[in-house]
Amino acid sequence: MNPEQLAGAAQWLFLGYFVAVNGGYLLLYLSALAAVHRQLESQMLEELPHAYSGLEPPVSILVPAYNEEATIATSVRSMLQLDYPEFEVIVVNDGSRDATMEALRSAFALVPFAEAYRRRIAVKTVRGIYRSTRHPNLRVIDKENGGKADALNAGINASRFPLFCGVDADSILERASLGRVVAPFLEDPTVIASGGTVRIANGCTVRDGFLESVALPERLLPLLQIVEYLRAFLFGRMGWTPFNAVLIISGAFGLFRKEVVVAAGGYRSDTVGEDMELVVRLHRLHRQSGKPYRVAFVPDPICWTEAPETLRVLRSQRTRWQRGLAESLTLNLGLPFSRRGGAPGWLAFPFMALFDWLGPVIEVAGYLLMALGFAMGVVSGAAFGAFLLLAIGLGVALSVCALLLEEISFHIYKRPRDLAVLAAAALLENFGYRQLIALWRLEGLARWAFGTKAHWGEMKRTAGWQKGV
Amino acid sequence: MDFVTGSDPLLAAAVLIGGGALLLSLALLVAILLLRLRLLLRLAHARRFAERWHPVFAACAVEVPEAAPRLAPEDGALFLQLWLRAQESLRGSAQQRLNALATQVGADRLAVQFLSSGNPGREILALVAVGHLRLAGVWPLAEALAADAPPVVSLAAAQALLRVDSVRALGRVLALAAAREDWPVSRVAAMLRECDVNDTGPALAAAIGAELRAAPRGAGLARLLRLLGATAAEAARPAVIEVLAHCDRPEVVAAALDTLWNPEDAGHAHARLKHADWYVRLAAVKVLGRIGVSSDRGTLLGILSDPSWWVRYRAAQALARLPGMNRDALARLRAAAQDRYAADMLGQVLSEMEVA
Repeated sequence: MNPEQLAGAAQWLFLGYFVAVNGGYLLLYLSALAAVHRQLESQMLEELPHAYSGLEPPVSILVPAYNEEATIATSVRSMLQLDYPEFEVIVVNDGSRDATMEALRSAFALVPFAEAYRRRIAVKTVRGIYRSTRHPNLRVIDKENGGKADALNAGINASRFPLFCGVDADSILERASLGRVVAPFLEDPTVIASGGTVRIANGCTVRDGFLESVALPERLLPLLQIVEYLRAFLFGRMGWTPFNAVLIISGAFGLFRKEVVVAAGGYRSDTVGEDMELVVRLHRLHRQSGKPYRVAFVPDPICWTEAPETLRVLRSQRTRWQRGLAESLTLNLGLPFSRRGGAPGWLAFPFMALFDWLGPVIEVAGYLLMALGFAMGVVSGAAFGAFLLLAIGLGVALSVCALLLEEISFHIYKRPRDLAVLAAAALLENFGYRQLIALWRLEGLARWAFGTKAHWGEMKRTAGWQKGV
Repeated sequence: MDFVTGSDPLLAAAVLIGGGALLLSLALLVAILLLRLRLLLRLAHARRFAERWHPVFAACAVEVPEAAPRLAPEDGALFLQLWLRAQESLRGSAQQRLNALATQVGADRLAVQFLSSGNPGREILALVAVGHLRLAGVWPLAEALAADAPPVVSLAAAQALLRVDSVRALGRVLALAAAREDWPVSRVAAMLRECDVNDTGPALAAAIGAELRAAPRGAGLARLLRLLGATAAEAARPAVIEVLAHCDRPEVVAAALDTLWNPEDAGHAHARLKHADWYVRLAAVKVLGRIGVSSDRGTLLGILSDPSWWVRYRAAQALARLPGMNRDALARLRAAAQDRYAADMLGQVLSEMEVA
């Protein structure tokens, strides 16, 4: 095979890949559109007074915290004010090196609590358990550092209620968040896990840990991530909902049936993608056993999070996410190869493996080889241009589809100017941003392949939007 | 390969798909703009509608306005939403006047039409409305929806039936509650709590008795017992005793024990404190937590070594609630405890008492 033939074959491969990945997402989009339409039909329920009153099961909210001294008190205070009939908050201080424990102690008047701690899931040593004298439903576990998964497992061990909700210490919630994510459990007794849409808080106004008003960020990097999140959540996840094949529930805010998670062994502490790994494992175990189950996803925005504002932090986040994805899939290879794999094993898993896990390899190689071929004169200018037009055109179309879905469903960004800014971002992200993300995802893949050690996902937060702290 | 040089049909296809995608994006952007425009117009209409009707609803606190605005059929859903909110905020005779207003403007007819719309949101809206209006004419339709519709709609239909005529509806709703595993027990219990306990007690007793005879191995019996536990209808107690005498299924026994409050029933709990299933033991210990007497102290101390954490926890709580038991007495029991699990659990309950 001469260089020209090789370049020609590579082009077939890359073009085929770009069409396949975008075609796949387009199908997911159509599925998400139908799911959102169904959701909107029953939205009238929320308008009715007390549509669900009296049937909510109590929930244990688990808040793993590592070096969160600056924001932990505000975050916990906001969680204590959630609009939900019965819940407890369990903060797990995972051996923080800063003054997280002191901040909690002084903000909530903690006293030692002689809890008969149950080690249903093995965790690092628990140094002490405290209870607030001001809030009877708040307990704090102080333990040796073991990572986020270990902290969540320690929280599960101490939890008293049948459902638990893992919440990142920096998550910004709405008062109704918990009620929304519990709703699927009320409608279907086979639901084992439920998650919702995570949105970006940069630019928004937050008071006392709650979202006060929504606005777009002024900086470009978080703005581009808003479009990315819309794509990921509104149809990357909503699209799989009708098939019961949602493989990811964000660790920022996810609700689980406790006994199911305990029976599965809890969160794995040897992966950085513990949230996704758990959901894929639950699918695998339930498919294998043939037990009826459902992993639900509500499109409502239930949780807001601060997106990275610098390239360095964004890179660190994306390499970690990619590594977590790779671990989650490889640790559960039994799912696609099971005779009972169903939609999660035979559709969602291969989709994710091909387009999200291995996708960066093909994507980055495609861009590099086409550019290299063009530079060396092996690829014509017209072919190179057509390749870029295809890749960018399909990318823009998918992003605009996400904007349309947002407008049909929640239209959170109220001002007409916001629409124009988001449309511009949907176009702009295809010129450099998406390629950069693909490159970082490739780096994450390499780190996973070469086995670099995993750590807590530390992120320098600016929290510039936070008021009333 | 001509693609390399730029003359391949594949190249044309790539240009076509890429260009087409960009054109599609443009069309979608226009669609987004139009949707936003439609939304703004709809919101403005809803605002004007609310401004027109809020004073009318407010007037119902005193009397039914003689000249209410005309209600266009396309505004039926908007009207019912506002009207239901008003129903929630007003009480007593004002609610009757709101009903009269709804009939006066023809909203009752619109609600009946919505029941057959096939749109779950409208069906639920209509079911809540006909419940408030007590429209007996919709009984067959609401009964069919309660039996066959998906959970959210069927539960709204059951609620409507209970509101229209609770005595007539109770038997049917309880039969459905036993059969429909997709109905959350807590939701049905919330509906039953709206009814007169003098009606729900006998109805539950009859339903439990019928289920015990017809399907003693089915899931319905435990569901009905959990409903009884949530509504605390004392009239159904004989039915529970009958269940405990004739049924040994662990989930049924646990649900039956959860309903017991009468001191005469302590024997049923004592008989099951060593049951093989931990949740039956848990239910039995909880009975002692409610009706235990001083003489149960030794029994409960023994249960503090149970293999189940929850059984130990409830036993420690039951001990703390026994007549004559106080913090010092509990601390002495803890100090004397030979079993580490028992001492730990007593320590936790002592700690809870200190924080409370």
